[in-house]
Amino acid sequence: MPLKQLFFGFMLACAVQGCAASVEEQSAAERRLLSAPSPSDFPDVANALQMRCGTLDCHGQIGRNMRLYGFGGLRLSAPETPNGDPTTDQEFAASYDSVVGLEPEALSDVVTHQADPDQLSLVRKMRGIERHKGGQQSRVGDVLDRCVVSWLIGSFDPAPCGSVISAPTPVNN
Amino acid sequence: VPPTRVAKRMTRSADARRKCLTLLAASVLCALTGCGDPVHDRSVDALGGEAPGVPKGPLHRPGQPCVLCHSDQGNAPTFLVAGTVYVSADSRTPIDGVQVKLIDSLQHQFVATTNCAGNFFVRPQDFSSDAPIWVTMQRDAVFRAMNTAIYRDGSCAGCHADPVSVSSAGHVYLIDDPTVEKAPVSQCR
Repeated sequence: MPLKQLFFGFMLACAVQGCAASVEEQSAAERRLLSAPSPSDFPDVANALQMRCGTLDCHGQIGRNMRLYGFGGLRLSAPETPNGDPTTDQEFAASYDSVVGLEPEALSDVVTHQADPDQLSLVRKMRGIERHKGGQQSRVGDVLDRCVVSWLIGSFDPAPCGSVISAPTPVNN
Repeated sequence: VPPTRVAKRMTRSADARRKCLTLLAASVLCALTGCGDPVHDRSVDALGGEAPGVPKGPLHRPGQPCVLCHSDQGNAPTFLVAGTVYVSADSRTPIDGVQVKLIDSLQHQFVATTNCAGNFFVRPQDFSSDAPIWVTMQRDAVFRAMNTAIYRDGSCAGCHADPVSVSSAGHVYLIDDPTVEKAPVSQCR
């Protein structure tokens, strides 16, 4: 009984004094401003990623960390369907949040300090450097790679993104 | 009295035997009770039982995600790709004789044909593919190509389940526009 009272007393003291204050202070001390690539250039990148990564059996699934929304894949809200209208602005924004939220600190280093894009899981998995169930999707310098990396490092070139989108497939060429 | 080296060795040997037996017993128990992936097990359970009058085989479970069971994780022969083709978006009538052509990234091709249940399946030994896989369907003059490629899920119904929703394209069908394309007559009786 005295032990029980001691425990509840401790909990009450914590609640009153705010034992979480130290955690809050630590977070504040470590907080820093992060940078992210341009959202305005992202739709071209998103359309390229959608073609190669955003199908319903890959990153067009709600269970994915890097969740992509858009035409041909997962839609953000009804009444849109996978084969319905083109990707909406809201879907571009949701995919943007998904991509830049993966590794925000590492991404900020790439954007701000020109760190090697290879430090991002997005790039490593895309290039097949890191294990990726969807396999290697790009090689250094190919159109998808240039599309994504040019956006990440802030020297966006829309042309390779367009090439990804318009690339012939075995069923449409 | 300190144990002799022989006694120590015998003790270690007995310990090793005990560990091996424990491991073996755990493995047997796992095999019997199914220590598999509970998420996978729940997905299989959710499919329910066989339809009355349809035995296990090529005609069973049309429209279901075949590769769920027909995989290394499942208990049925492995399929690379498998699914069911229906007449149109509004119809759940299966269509037979549809040639489902798979084309991989290296342009390798394989053609499977739907049966009376609309089912088709491709075994790994039939088609050694390099993903992604593109798909076309044809019966008589009616041709249809899939908009996107298959990257991971060999079950058509994994993405093509009914009803159509934000995360599903609805069932696979051949006739896009019934006013232009005529539904082929089924050869099944």
